[in-house]
Amino acid sequence: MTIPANARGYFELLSGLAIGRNGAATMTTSHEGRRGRRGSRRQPLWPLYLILFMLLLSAVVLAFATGRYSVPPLMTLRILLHPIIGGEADWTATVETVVWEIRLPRIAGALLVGASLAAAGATYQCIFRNPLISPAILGASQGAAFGASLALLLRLSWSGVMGMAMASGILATSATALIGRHLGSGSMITLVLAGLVVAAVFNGLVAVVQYIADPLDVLPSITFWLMGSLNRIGNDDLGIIGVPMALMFAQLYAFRWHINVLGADNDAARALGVNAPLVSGVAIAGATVLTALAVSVSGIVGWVGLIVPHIARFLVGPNFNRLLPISALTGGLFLLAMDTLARSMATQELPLGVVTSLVGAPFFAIVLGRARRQWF
Amino acid sequence: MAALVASDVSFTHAGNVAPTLRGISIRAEAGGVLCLLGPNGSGKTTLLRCLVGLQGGGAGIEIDGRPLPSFGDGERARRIAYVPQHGAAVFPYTLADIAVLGRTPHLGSFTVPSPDDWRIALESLDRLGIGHLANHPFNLSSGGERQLALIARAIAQDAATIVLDEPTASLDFANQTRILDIIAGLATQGRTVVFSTHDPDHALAAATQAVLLKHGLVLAQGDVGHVVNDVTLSALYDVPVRLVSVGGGDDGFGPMTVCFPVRRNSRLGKSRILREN
Repeated sequence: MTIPANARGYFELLSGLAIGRNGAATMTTSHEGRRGRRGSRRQPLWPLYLILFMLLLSAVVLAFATGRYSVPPLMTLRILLHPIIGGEADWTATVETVVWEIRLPRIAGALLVGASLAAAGATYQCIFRNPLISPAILGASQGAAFGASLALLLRLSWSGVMGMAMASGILATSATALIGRHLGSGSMITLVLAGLVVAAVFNGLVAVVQYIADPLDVLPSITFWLMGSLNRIGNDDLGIIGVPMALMFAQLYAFRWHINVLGADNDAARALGVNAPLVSGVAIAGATVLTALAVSVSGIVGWVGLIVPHIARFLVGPNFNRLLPISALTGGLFLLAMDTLARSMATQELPLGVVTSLVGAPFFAIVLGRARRQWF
Repeated sequence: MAALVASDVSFTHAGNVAPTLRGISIRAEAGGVLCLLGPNGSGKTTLLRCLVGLQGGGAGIEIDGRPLPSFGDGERARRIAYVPQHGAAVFPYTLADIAVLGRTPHLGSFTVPSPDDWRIALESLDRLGIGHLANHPFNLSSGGERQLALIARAIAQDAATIVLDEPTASLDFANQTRILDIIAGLATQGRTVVFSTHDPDHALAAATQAVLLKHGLVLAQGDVGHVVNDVTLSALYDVPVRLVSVGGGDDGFGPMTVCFPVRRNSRLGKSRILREN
């Protein structure tokens, strides 16, 4: 940027402040004006990325240090780097197992699942132009849960579980979108209600699976996994879900601007040169596959996909090209923090889904309060 | 030369039995301003949406002598821009965010607007006098500011033809005049403008051609001075309409023609009748 452009930027900032103060009653509250400037493209993003990466790093260090086996951070680092830099191994095999086989997959899993759910939530909210929805509210999570539990019942392989979760998740999301369209787009609540219906149907189907599942063997694993937990994730699972997740992120990232156009003006998007059916299809499929992948390893972890996009929008404004990466980073950070909390709050580990609900629900109440009835 | 031609365009909304448009044929001359007049429900919005390919798949529409469906999405959007009647953004997009959407057809695949694109968007806002509101949220702006931002988006889109759906609706007197000046200015730069309005005065003030639309049929079309008169307007709106020429005033403005509906039961008329008795 040239100096005059910058000077103009500052001038606009000042005039914006003046408007915020003088025209508060007629045009906006000073608070909303501030939010507008926060989303400004002139604001460089690197300080925010720096802060998020530092927070992420401290959360990872803290998560490695949390647990019954106390492993000092430096020793953790040496254990993790040992295969690369070698050196003398002055720790027990148990400690090595704790770091490599238990904590590493769990931390990486929290980051991947959190990033996926948050990115899916941001995509759904943008493409449906609806701040009240998330993978769980659309029924995508419950759909994926039914597919995965059916696959567990049929004792299918890992890829079978993921494939069934994806297929069933896409079925559920399409059903919600179709019912929502049938009800009409008069209010944002209609899509929420459609999601409620679809989620209820798939919850019922999951209950049927649980009812016929073998109570000694399959039932406990389905039940435990449905509560939402990361402690079943192993290193081999990470490889299986990591690659398709990366592909889906790449897909959403490639279409980030066209998704943004749909989010800002769905009606005239075609007149702006956007192939609206193609872009919505790409976006909804990407978000649903991310949800299904997350659900197939962690069960239903609610609220992440609903509140993290709101946090990200608060940080960088509504433009999807900025919202997507910040949502993913914040989502990973949020879920890792929640999982560490779940592991350390009580002597016995709490289910992750319970902790995200306890933190997420009150937070969403605050978001709704800020919206001041604009959304209904 | 005609920039935009519609030949025998018909359209029926899904779920409706009666067609909204019945074989409409119109042409907008390049560099001219075409005004679409018609009562509520006459099919103005549907026709405009058909012209830009938002409805009807572009059947019967030609831009610069080429059928609309033969254009790719981006190419079409670089030739013809559309300004909807209401923009509705749920999330707090700023006016600059809305204006830069107009750069979308000029972007490469998988890229986002460059600093140059943002500069063009800000210049468009400046041209419409709302540059100082660039960082103001669209969904909290007044109707006039929203309309101006959507026009700025169309200007940033840099298309030779701009189609506006009732750009003066729900605006106050000053803002209506501003929009008409902007429309005239766009034509001065060689762009072709098509707009609809409920106020025949706006056709008289800003348009070169007019199309009168009623029940999905063209009642009359041609040069504004020719087509917009007492007889056609009375037939169009089913109320008696009179046109009056106002001479140039001391304020330096030249003569102009205005129109108004005649109200038989108006209080003024009654009092005059009472006096005469």
